[in-house]
Parts: sequence; C-alpha cells; structure tokens
Amino acid sequence: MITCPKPGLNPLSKLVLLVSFCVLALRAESPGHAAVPCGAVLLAHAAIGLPPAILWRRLRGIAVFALVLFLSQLFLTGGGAPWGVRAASGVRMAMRFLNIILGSHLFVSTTSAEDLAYTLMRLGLSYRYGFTLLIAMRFVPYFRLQSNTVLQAQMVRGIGVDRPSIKGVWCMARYTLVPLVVTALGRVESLAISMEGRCFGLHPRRTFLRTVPFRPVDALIIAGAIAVVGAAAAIL
Amino acid sequence: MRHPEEVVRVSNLTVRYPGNAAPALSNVDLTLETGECVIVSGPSGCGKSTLALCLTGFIPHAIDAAMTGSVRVGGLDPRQVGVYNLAEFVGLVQQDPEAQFCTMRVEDEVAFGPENLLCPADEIARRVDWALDAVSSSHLRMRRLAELSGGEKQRVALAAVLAMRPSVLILDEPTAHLDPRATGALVHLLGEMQSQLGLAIMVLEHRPERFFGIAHRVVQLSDGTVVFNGPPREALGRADGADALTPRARAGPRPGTETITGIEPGHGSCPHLGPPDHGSPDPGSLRSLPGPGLHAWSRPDPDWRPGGPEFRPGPDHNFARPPGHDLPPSALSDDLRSSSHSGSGPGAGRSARPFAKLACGSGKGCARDYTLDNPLLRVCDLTQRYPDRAVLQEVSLVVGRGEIVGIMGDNGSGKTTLLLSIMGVLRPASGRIILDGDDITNVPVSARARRIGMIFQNPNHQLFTDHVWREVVVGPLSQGVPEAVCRPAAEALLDRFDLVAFRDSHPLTLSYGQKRRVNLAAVMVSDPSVLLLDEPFVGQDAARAQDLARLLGELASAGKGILLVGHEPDLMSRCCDRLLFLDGGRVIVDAPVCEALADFERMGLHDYLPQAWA
Amino acid sequence: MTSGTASKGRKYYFSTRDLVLIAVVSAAGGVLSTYVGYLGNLLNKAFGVPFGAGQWMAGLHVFWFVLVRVAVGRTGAGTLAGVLKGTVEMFTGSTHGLPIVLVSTVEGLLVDLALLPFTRPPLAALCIAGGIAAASNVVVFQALYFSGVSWGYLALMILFAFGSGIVFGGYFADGVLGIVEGARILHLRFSGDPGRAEHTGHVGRARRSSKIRLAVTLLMTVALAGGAVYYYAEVFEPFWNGPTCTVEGKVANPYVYRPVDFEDEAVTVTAELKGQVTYRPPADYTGVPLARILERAHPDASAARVRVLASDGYEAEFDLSDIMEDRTVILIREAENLRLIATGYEGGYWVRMVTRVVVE
Repeated sequence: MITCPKPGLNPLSKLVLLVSFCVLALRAESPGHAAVPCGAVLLAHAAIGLPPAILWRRLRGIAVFALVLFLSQLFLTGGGAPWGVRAASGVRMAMRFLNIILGSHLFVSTTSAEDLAYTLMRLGLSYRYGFTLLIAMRFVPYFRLQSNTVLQAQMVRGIGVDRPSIKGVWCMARYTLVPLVVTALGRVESLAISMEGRCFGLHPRRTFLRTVPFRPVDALIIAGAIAVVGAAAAIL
Repeated sequence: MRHPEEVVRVSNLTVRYPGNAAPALSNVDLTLETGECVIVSGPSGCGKSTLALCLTGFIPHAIDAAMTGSVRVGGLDPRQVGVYNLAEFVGLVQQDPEAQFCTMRVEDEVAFGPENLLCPADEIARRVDWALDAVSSSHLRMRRLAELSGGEKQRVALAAVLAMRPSVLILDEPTAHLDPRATGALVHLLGEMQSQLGLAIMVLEHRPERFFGIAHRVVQLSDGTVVFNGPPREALGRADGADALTPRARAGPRPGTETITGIEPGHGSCPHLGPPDHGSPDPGSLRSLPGPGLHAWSRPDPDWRPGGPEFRPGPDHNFARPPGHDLPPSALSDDLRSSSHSGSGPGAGRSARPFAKLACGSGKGCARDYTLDNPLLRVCDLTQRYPDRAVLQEVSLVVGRGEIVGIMGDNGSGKTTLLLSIMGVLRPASGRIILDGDDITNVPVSARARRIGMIFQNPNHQLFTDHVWREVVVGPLSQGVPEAVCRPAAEALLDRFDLVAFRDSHPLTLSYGQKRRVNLAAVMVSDPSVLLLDEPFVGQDAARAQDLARLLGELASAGKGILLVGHEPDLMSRCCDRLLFLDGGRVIVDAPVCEALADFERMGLHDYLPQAWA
Repeated sequence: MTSGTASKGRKYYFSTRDLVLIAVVSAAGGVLSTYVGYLGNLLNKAFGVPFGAGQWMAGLHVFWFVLVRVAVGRTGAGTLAGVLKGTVEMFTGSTHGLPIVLVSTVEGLLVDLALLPFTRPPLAALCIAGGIAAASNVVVFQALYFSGVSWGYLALMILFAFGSGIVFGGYFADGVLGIVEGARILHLRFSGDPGRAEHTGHVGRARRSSKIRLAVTLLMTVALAGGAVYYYAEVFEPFWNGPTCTVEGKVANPYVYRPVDFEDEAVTVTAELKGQVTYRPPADYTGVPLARILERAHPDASAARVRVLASDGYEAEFDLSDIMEDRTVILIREAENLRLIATGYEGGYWVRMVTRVVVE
C-alpha cells in the first residue's frame, strides 16, 4: 500500500473519482481525448510517489495486453473497414483499457478495502453487508497461503501438467479447487459462531470505533467529478 | 474477598443430533463457579464442543439438536434467551483463532463485540484498552491480524471475547495451533485472568495435563458421559486410558544396518521408551510386516501414561542424565549452540558407540556424532532465504534407515521450510541433500517424489480425487506409471491401513484418522525410502495420535527413514529416536531423545519437555 | 445458522452464516482467479493460440457463484458473491481493474436470475446458469474493449465460455456440492429458519444418475466439437493454405482470398514485364484472374477503382471496369506470397507480396 499524500481523502471520494474517470475513459472517442486522462492518471501516479520503473514493472503485462487489444481490433474487426479506421479503433480501445487499468491501479494503491468498507457502512450501507467485504479481504492472505500449500502438496505427489491438455487442465482445476473449497467452507461455521457470539446482527445498526473522516473537500471532489462527467457526456 | 458464585449449572443434560442414534451428551451434570477453572477433557467426538455450544445457546437455536435436561448460565436458560442475550455473560473462544476473526486489525477485532452492542465510541475504546491489557497485548493494538504469531492471535481472540465483559469464558482446544512456548504463555495468562478478573473459565482440551497447574477441577467426558469430575491430582491418578499414549514398541532397524542412534541399551537410555528391538526381521515391504509388531503398538504400556504419577522421573525411572547434564544451563547453552554436539562438545561421550562422522564435502557442520556410517538422508549446510531474511542457516542433519527423527521448535523457526527444501519444493540458497548416496540437490521435485514422501499438516490439502483408490494411485499415474504396475502396492497399502472398505468412498468423507491413513498410503505407494511429516499430530487426540504413531513405527520398522515435525513434547519424545531443535533457522540441538531433553532443560526450553521430565 | 429467531434477534434475509459463506467463498474465488488465468494460459498453449482458448476456463470464475447460490439457497447470493469476488480481485491486483467488478457482478446476477425459478435447482439448471453466466464475460468485455469485432469470432468465444460454464459452473459445481454434503463440512443442520430447510436438499444429491452424467458429457462433447469445427473452419488459418489477401472496401462480400479456393478457375497467360529498370521476357504465368476474385466480393455499383496493396506499402491502382473485363490480369502464387501479373500494363503495375485488394 502506498501512502497517499492526501491522507484525508475519503475512500468514497476516491471511488467516485475512479468511476467518473472510467466513464470518461469509456466515452473518449479519439486517441487525443483518451490521452488526456491517461496523462492525468500517470501524473497522479507520480504525485503519490510511485517511481516510473516500479509502475512499469507492475503494469508491463497490462501494456502487452493493450497491444493484444490493439492487434485484435486491427485484425479481427469485420465489415471490411479500412486499415486506418481499424488502427484508430485499436488505439482507442487500447487507450481505453490502459486508462481504466491505470485508474484502478491508482485507486487500489491509495485505498484500503477496509477503509472503503467502513466508509460505506458509516454512510448507510447495512453493516451486515459491509462486513462481507471485510471478511472476504481478511481471508485473502489465508487463502493465498492455503492455495500455495495445496499446489505444493500436488508437487510432492508428482502431480502436474507436463503437456497442457484439456484433460490435464480439468484435473488440475479439480485437484486445486476441491481442497480449497473444502477449506473455505470449513471456516464458515466457526466464523459465524464467533460473530454471532459477539452479537453481530443483534441490532439493525451498530456503532463504530474507527472513524474515516469525510471532509468538505471530499464533498467538493465528488460534486466536481459528477459535474465533469455530466459535462463530458454533454460535449462528447 | 468475594464468595464464589455458581454461574453455570448443567443438570441431566442430554443432546442428540438429528440422524444420530447415540446422543452427543448423555445425562451430563456440571457446575462452574466464579473464579474457578474447570478442564473438560476427553477424546475427539466425546461431546466437549457440544457442551460449549449448549452453554452459549447455539444449541438448540442455531444448530438443530434435541436437548433435554436443565442448563442455567448466570441464572438464564439458553433455550429461552438465545445466543445474543447470553453473549454478554458467556464468551466462547474457538480452537483456531484464525477462523474467528472477521476484521483485519487488532483494534477493530476487539472492538467488534462492543460495537454490535451499540456502545458509544468512548466506551468501546475503554473496553478495547481493558481487554488488550487483560491479555497483556496492548502493544498489538494497531497491528494487522495477518502479521501476528499464533500465540498473539490466540490472545487477541481472547481479548475480543473479553471485550464483551463475560463472566464465563469457554476455550475450545485453545492450544491446538500453538507451539509449546506459546501454550505455556497462554496457560500462564489464563491463570492471571482467573485470579485477577475472577472469571469462571472452562477449558475444553483433549490433553488436559497442560492446564493442571491452573485447574480447580477436571471433568472427563467419554462418549458424551461424564466419567470423572474431580481435582486434577485425582485425574492424574486415573488409569482410564482414554487419553493415554501407548509406548513406542516398534521393531528396530532392519538387519544389516547399524544402530542409528546413540540410545543403545545400557547407556543414555530412556527406559520409558524401551530399547529398540533388534530381533525384528527385515520386512522388505509393508505387506510383509510381521503381525506382532502391529500388536505391540496397541498394547498399553503400564509404565508410562501422560500425566500419570508413575510418569515422573525418579529412582525407579531411569531418566538418566548423560554425563555433563548436571552442569548449569548458562555453562552449556552457548557450547551447544556453537558446537551442536561435536565430538569435543558437552555431548561427547554420551554414547558408548564410536562416533561416525560424515563427510559432506564442505566439511562444515556435517559431522554428527550419533549417526550411522551409511545414512539414508543427509542434509548438509542447507541455507534457505526468503527475500527479507534467512529462514534456514546451514542446517545439517542425517536420517538413518528405520530412524524417526523429530524436529521441534517455535512456530516460524523454519521446520516446514526445512521439509519443503528437502522435498525440493523450495530451492535452497546453498547446501546439499544426499539421499542414499545420491546427491539430489538439483533433482526436480517430481523425481524426488518417487523416493521421498511428504505429508502436510492438513490432510484435506492432499486429497485430490473422487475416491480412495484413485487417491492412492494418482501420483504414480501422473508420472506415467501404468495402474497395473502400482496396483499390487496400492492394494497392499489399502489392506495394511484398513482402507479396503473405503476403496470407493470419497476421501473427504472419511474421518480425520482415515484421511491421514489415505495420505500415508498415497505417498507410500511409490515406496519412498524417506517420509517427511509436517505436524501430523496437530488437532488429534491421544487415540488418533497413537494410531498414527503406530503406523509410523511400522514404517520405520520397514526401513523407512522418517523426519517428523511436531510440537507435542510427550508424543515426540515417545515416538522419535532422535530430536532436533530449530531456533531461528539453526539447529541448536541434535541428539538422541534423552540427551536432547536434557539439552532442552539446560537451555531453558522447559515448554518443550515432556510432563514426566518436567 | 441464522441470526433470525434462532438467536432471539432480528430476522434477516441472509443469515450470518449465509453472509460468511458468501464472503469466504468469494475470497477463495478471488484469490484463485490468478490460478484460473494460469490454467487458461495452459489451454492457450494446448491449442497453440495466443489467446481465446482461455475462455474454456471462464466457467471456473462462475463456479463460485453457483456454489454459493445453491449452498445458501437464496436469490441474491450469487450477485453478492459477484460483487465481492470482483472487489477482491480488483484489490488484489487483477489485470482488469474496476471492470472486473462489473464482469463478476453480472455473472453472479445471471446465476441468480437463471436459478430464480428453482428451490432445488436440477443439474440442467445449474449447467444453464453456469453457461449463461460464463458467456456473459465475453459480452461485457466486448462492450468495454472491442468494437466491430466479427460476429463469428464473438460467437466462437461465447460458445467456448458457455461450454466452460456448463462444465465448471454446472457439472463441476454440482459434484463439489455433493462432496461438501458427503463430508458434512457445512453441518447443514445449521438451517435455523424452518422456512429454508429445504434448500439444502439439493446438496444431498451426491451421486448423479449415470444418465444425467452421460447427457452432460454428450452435451459438452457436442459443444466442444462444434467449437472446434467452427474454430478450424472459420478462424484458424493453417499455413498450408498458402498466402492470402483480403478483398475489401466497397464490396458486398469482403473476404479473405486463398488460392486454394479458386484452383479450378486458374488460367495461364503469357506476359512480358517491361519496367523502367526491369525487363522480363515473355513467360507463362498461371493464376486466378483478378476479375474473378473481385466478382466473388460483389463490388458496389458505385465503385470505380481497385487498389492492389503490398505488405511493403507498395500499391497500384486500376480502373475497376477495365479489370473486370480483363481476364489476363491475374494473381499468382509466388513462393509464400501473392503477385499480381498485370498483363498489358507497365511494369509498375506488377505488384509483389500482395496482401490487400481494396475496391473504392
């Protein structure tokens, strides 16, 4: 997690910014229009202190996929469109993809899922549903560890796919997913007992110790983002 | 001083789950007073958890079960008031703290209960402070749960329940996932909480002796019935046998090989272990294992029972300290760490047998005193690094044919990493691994899998297929071995491990012990010469552990070398020929069991000593 | 377990156990999505294509939603799992960013909708739900990142994904539910709310009748075969078909020209190349008249010119009507390339390495 230089920015503001950004990226019709948000989000990455080399290392796979998108647009588009049109379409789609991914990356790099969940709950989302996000995120490292162990267990039994085939992939999926599902479901009842044993669900609302500040600047950002999207929708 | 007040009264309680003919609990009577600590013990499935669920109201409200008799918790009837109304009176801490956290930070987790009670923020903060302080974990407040050790997680789980301000605290198998050091710390903590907070504490444990120091009473359950209810000292004397471990009485190493440990009859021996039987024939295969060896394992040892008074060392029990073991710890620990039993170290002369040093090429750290001339597995100067730290540092060890070598150490000391490195799952930064004379350091794991079998802690992680037969043969089949070739061995293993009746069953539908046997059969089908087992006893009661130990004994008798990671001092000292202790990725003890235990004692590793030794 | 009357508290649509189950399974699904991507890449390798075959794994993404929907037994469980799994994927570094939340939510929603009529969904319903949900990812990604991609290609991808959804989202999920029930992992006595006692009945079908299994197998075989046939007939371009060029522009039927398709229409002409620097004496050339190639494309009435373009950027332009009347301007195969033999035209009109024929 990268420390955001504006720690006071509420996760909800960031989420609204991200959604607005993605809407703009989707509506950008020309490469020029798409380049503006792309430049903005790259600058934002620089602003949060992420060195370009690290950004490139994280996102080089994305760049390759953007190239694939461009090529697929170039070669798979039907209707006999001229190459120039196809190429422009390819650039537009690749830029759209890059913009959305870069925007998402910026959001994820500066926002924690738990802060987002607590914010949404404090803003009125039923805490029972808000906690599902917390629980899911809380189990991510656990399942990473478990899946790693399952794959290691396969290795030590000499189970693997030497030559890829449909049957081999089917077996790999079975051998990995079934133990993981069993592990996952085995956790359900302990956690449910633990939560209800501490009165989860007793009241329709609950109080919170943790505070996630929502400042005037957050309201301004949200209003501004909505206004920009509205204006873009009218102009583009 | 406040007079004790009865907070739990259970009278004639019978609980029956739908579809089960036998009741989970039958006519149980039980009381608990403020400030009292009661240990409820018994093997897995005896009804301990059912009792906890009844006291917390989950039975019958959340779990379908027929419940008769009377239960009163703080004067309330759980059947009438439900879970929520009991939650502020009785708190339940379950076996695995990992499975009961629903947030990501310590503070949030401890605050979770009071938040649900609609407590104002300042009251929540006060409760969090108090609860964390009660478990001596205020320093963990802002930590992320995923970063905590097992012991720290258990403390946070306790604090999360304490924040509800209950009068009764129920802990279900609280030490199952803790290493001995963390277990000792937890017991100490519970003792403090009991005396300072006046809590009524009920601990559900299948190895109750760990808590005898703080317990007022022990209630022993068997098949849902209370078979004992009295003070710990009387429990110690009971010869009920439900949790007793049978001794290691397997056959000795295969003929033609050297004695592989320094524990030879007549010197440095632990009589409770019994001398190796050198008269056992070489079975050649599991199928040809002699029957008497198996029976010997199931025969209870009248001289040894965990927690039993006769278990304590004394004049009649020759827990003989080897020479030098009466030196003060401070004088020896450094030597032990540095020399690790070199010929000139404090361990010199423990064994009457001449030392047989092994040459591993590097010459550094490879010499081990009590090893055979031709070991099955040799690990030389193995170093394993993660990006941020070295996990193993120049670890050397040997495993002989028919030898069971135990590896102990705190969580995070590198035990599992060592096994994974030997198996080839992790590529070591340096060092060599020699199996039966062949350097396999660079051999891929798929090839090693034919000669080394590894079993992980959780049996479910290693059950991949739809039925037991397929599970046993899937490894060889994946490596291109025709089923006809591995069929005889697989058939023999199913027979030997009592799995024939489950041949077409789904492995995941089997019992825990049966799953473990399937795991063993699945790795044994390739007839590996070395077995690596990572904490196979975790979560198992004494009977199950005994079953597994018996199987391991049989395999060792068949000439297999076994490297066993475990936390249970009693079990490990009974099951193994030799013990290693890993500390921060280094081997600081490597000795035959008795000598290793003496080393543990001198080095202050008291939590790792068996009850008898302690 | 329920937090309804069982706990003497409020009644909720989803019990605490339901919510925990949804969250935990979604987390597992989110974490394993990377592994599913790896399996997809393995399939791409198996098929020898750079991408696309990975859609065979699309069903593994919806498997979790079917599992949750059936285990919980409530409409909406799939959608909630979709939101959570997508969010987990986004926060754990999915290469799709925010859209993965949309894709995942749509998949979960479709599982809910497809299973809406069923209290105890039969296997066929699970397969259909899995198939539809898995196929939806193609449509959503198409809407976001593609424009004007040929319907044939799109249909192929949808077919792949649908088949995968049937196998993994339906059949596989059903089998796993059977295992879960057999192993009593969920302790299904935790039903709590009596009104919902029935939903777990589905899980009891640990063993399917062999007929149903056979039917699913046959269905999948047909889908696999259909997909393979379409792929190799319409998309796959085998090297042994020789060089190709596209015929496009103002034509009713743009297509890819392959010499092998016009073998019967080849003619032999004698032509002499007179270039400004190059001269080749008269020689016989055998190939397909450009007029015939254009006829197959049905040029528009308004079209007037035809441009022949080479891979190196070189091009020659002809009057369309002249070409349509001239059977001596032919496209011949020259090693692994196509070459235009413009009989009667200057050397500059003879185009090597032809890749496109554009009518304007």
